[in-house]
Amino acid sequence: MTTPLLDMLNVTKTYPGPEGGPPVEVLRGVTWQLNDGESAAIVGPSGSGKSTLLNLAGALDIPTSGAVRLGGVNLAEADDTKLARVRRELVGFVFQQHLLMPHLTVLENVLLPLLADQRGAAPEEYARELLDRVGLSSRLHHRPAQLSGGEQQRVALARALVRRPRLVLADEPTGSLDRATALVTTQVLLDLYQALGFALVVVTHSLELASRMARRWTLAEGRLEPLA
Amino acid sequence: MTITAALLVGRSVQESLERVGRLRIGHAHVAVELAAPAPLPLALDNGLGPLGDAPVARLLVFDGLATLPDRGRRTGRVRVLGVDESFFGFFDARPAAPAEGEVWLSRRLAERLDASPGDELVLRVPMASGLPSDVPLGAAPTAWAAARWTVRQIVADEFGGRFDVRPSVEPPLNAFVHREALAAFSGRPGVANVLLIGRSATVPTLDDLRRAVEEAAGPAGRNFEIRSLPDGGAELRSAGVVLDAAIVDHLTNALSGGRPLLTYFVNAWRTPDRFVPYSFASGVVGEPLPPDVAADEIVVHADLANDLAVRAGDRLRAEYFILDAQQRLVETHTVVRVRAVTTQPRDPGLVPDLPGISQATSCRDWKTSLPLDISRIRPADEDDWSRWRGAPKAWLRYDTAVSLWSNRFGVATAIRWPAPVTTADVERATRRVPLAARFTDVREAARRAARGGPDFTMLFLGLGAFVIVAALLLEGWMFGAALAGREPEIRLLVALGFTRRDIARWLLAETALVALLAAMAGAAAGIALACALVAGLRSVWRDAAGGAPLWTVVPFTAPAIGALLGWLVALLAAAAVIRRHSATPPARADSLSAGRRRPHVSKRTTLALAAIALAAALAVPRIAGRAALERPLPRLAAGALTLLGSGFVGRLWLRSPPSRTHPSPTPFGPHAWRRHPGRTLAALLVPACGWFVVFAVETHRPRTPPTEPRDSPAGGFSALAETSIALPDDPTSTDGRRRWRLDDALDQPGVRVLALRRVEGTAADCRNIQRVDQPPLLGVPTATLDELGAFSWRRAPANAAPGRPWSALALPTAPDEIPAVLDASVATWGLRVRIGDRIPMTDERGRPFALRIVGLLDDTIFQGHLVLDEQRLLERFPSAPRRMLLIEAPAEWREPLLETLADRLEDWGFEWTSTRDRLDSLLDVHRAYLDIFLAFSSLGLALGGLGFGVLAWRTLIERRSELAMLLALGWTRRRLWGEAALDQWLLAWAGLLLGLAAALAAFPPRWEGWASWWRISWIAAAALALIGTLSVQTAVWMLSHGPLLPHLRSE
Repeated sequence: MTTPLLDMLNVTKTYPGPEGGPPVEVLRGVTWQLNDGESAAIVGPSGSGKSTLLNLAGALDIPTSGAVRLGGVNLAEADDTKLARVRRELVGFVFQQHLLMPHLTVLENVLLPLLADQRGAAPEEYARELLDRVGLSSRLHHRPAQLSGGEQQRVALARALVRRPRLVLADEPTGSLDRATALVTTQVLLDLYQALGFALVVVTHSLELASRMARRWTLAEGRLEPLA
Repeated sequence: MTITAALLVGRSVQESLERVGRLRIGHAHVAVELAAPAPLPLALDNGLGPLGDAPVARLLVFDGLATLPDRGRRTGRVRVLGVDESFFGFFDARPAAPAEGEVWLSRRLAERLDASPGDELVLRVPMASGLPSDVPLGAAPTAWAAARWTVRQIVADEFGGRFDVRPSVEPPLNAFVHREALAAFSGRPGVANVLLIGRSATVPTLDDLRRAVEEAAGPAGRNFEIRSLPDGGAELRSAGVVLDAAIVDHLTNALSGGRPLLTYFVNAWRTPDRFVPYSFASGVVGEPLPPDVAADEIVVHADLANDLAVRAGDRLRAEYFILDAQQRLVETHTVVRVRAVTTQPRDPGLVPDLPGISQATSCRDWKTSLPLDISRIRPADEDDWSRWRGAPKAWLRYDTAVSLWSNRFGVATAIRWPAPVTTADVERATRRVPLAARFTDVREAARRAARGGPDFTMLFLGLGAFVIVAALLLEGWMFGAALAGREPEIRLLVALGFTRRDIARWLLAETALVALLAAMAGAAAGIALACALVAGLRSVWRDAAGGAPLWTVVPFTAPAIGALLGWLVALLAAAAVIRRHSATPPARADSLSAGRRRPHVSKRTTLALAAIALAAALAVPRIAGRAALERPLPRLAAGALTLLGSGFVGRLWLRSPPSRTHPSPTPFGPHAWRRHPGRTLAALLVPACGWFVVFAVETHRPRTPPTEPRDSPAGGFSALAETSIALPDDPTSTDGRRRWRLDDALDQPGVRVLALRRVEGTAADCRNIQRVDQPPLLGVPTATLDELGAFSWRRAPANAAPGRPWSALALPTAPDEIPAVLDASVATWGLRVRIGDRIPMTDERGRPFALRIVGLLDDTIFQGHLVLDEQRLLERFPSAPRRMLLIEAPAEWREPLLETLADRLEDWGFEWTSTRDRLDSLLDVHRAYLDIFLAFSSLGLALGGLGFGVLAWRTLIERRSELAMLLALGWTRRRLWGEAALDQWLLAWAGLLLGLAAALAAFPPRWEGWASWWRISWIAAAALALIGTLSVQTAVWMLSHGPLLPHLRSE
């Protein structure tokens, strides 16, 4: 029996409520597992805790209670340094806002994760290969401001994959794109998923994107339920 | 806050000075200061005669010396005031006066002597004779008188203790005694030399009062004595022995028939084999001289002719003392021919009343400062004295007598009118002779003094300008950042159809309300700051205020005006930001790009401006010249231009494309600075300006220059001394050396003493923060100073002989002008005059004249005085006493010389100070102003430091999403916030280094400058760097402990 890549057990996440009010329980006893290479979509209304779930899964946050294991590491017991290492080595993030560094070129933005552990000059070959896969090999030295929204998001995709993560977490990756661009971007993501074999979790409002994932979950009232 | 504080400080200083003025003069409106004490008629008293209903007080005032023998305490520059009950009526005190034998002390004098009621005090004052101390004709044998008085009470300042006719901030050392007792003790009963006059409804103007006083003063008030002559007619003479030329001309013109005469003391009449000692001769008009008597002829009495065995046609040699050009007593002679011998009765009435001589019963009882050889007196001379009381034995032409024997004091000893002129006629004629007095509207003078001094409001506004600028910049930054944060709202309103003008008006209205609240809070803070500043001016910065007593005054208007101005200034700054923001298209809210705005100034223009500024920074010191490098202005300009040029260079760099070599992955560092070039530049330059000011102030702190060089501010003299009582002789003259036994001390090699004459006034140096109308006048030996090459000039007189700048002071000028020089700083800040200006003055005889400014000295030990040639000073002030000494001695003789002088001149109130200490005390004012400037700059820097922290906080907020993304990519929090802090520290310290570099470029430090590292300003600089660092760290800490993850989503 293989060890799940991501193993959440009875995870609860609570935030302080408004002044004088009770705390807000965003996640209630979430138990969820994801294996290497699997894909999953999480859907749900706004404010249901989808991003919170993704942050916990990506070692960006720690649960109020319960356990989260990612790549065998118990995230609840990890300090900030360990969490950062986990994020560097295991996780790649794709956000709704591409969050590219405006002063760096496309190539430099993709290489950015390799600088997180101050390893010095990063090898460019894989980055160039990724950019070629996303169709931006001719735009290596352009700045983000010179790209369209879809192109910027594809750069963000390449950036998320440059360290060969085992898990890619995409939070509304097409949320800010028009429909045509969203379709293109979705296809690029799925092509990469197929080619590189990482586990993929997508938070999305797009039923079409959700339907392309192997499994679908819904988050409502803090509980994760499989979606038929 | 700064504006309110400046307004309040200025108001407080002015009201304090006005309050001091009221304490000084009470209810007096006019003060009449006579040149010499005189018996003033009763007609000048309260409620009588021409002064109508005005209250009047007579005073007899001397500068003297006070000693508390039981405690060994002693002080000079004591103002001894003989008063009666009417004096204290001017100060709302109960009508009382010191009884005979009592002295009342002012609070300051009591503190200085540590005296209390019951103590015995010795007061030493000059004799009140009408004669100046160094007049050669029968000078008073004793220059001063001393007596014991019992201290009865201490007079509070508000009850007259602080009385002073002159507007000074320093409380005088007043000792009040019974006026009549003082007059009698000083040798002239019944005299007074000051009149205080209160408000009069019937005699409202100063001119009216002057006319009334001159009318009422009469002959007695002018020290005239009028008597009838035995054979009819009248004679006028002066208690001061001699009458000056102007008075003689006035009276002989006013009343025809007047004949002046000049009777003089002749040491000896000689023939080849005989001589007659010590007799009088008279220069006369008319009898007994024949009408055709020649200028070199005399008529002798038979008594003299027989004694000398001479007859008509014989020649005689007359030997006598005169004052030479240097006002030294020298014996000289003239040879005359006997025209005739007369037997007409000799007239003792021709001899003036000479103190020490006229009352003597025998020749051997004569008491005079003239160096007489009593052994010459023969029995026949004693007989002659007993019979004739010195009646003249010889007569010569009056004009000849004037040419031989007149001096600065006068040209005649009497004027005679033949019958039918009566004493009443003469008395009427004298009423039109100008009174030798100075009339001062003391109330107006006090008001002018209080309001005409340095404007402390403008001073503190200037000193606080950096605070205001820093605050405005900070407001602009924060307001601009807030406005940028509200861009989505603004875009929405625009999208809905509202015009940008409407939006701008709403924003301005909103800002106006906030600014109003801030202005009110600032006004309240300004009141607190003003209290602190006034407390500072009373204590640590008291030199800047001249030690003036200061009260904090908080009228409603000042905080209201300060709040209003602060509000307006803040509103204008906000309006400028709104206008600038409205003029440029907004950045996209969904992009991380900086929303670069198109620069208003092109790259080429910026490059040109940078080149011009930096070139000017290099050129200014060269243009200003080597000597001007010692002045602050060219150096400040060079530093400012350096900063300006650096700013333009920085702007160019920030707007240039970034380097492609290893850009930082994080949102920090030079590339991030380029996102907001204006903000980055401001963040660099504002602290840089502040640091520049701090370092520039410290390196320019004035150091006391050496006093040994001749061209130093001390002229090579090592000590400056003053006496409380005028010296009757020049200590370096033969008479002076003999009088004070100074031969041994003065004959040492390298020793030089110069005695200077001074006419009292209100010191106009930098320690007096009041406007001065009557500065003291100092008469110097200009020829000596030229020979020594003493002192240096900011601007030497243009008409002086080459290499002899002081000679310009002795050159002839217009009849009513005398050339004068003064320190450049006094000219600029104190009296506000320039070369060529005339300063109206009134001379000793009450006649107007003017001083023409012909040169500016380079801030010397004479600061506060107007300096004249001694001889020219004596033309207008013949009685000007010697009261200041310049002393030069080699180091090994300095102490012994000063000890000797202090011992020998103790009874004249000799006090000395080193010229170094004198210069130090003058520079202390400059240093105090620099300390205030530094305090304000430090306040501005603290504000800038805190503002820098706010900026750092703002910058980090704008980059939260970038920071969150890096966190997601695996950066640790520690590394992220470490880079954030480092980025802001780099900016802060870059500003510091830029300011330091500009300061070093403008003010190359001297070695002794570095030795003062531990001065408060350096500590303040370090403290301020800490504030800036802490504020940045605080901003970083606050943000690092807040949530970042929410910023991963759309913002």
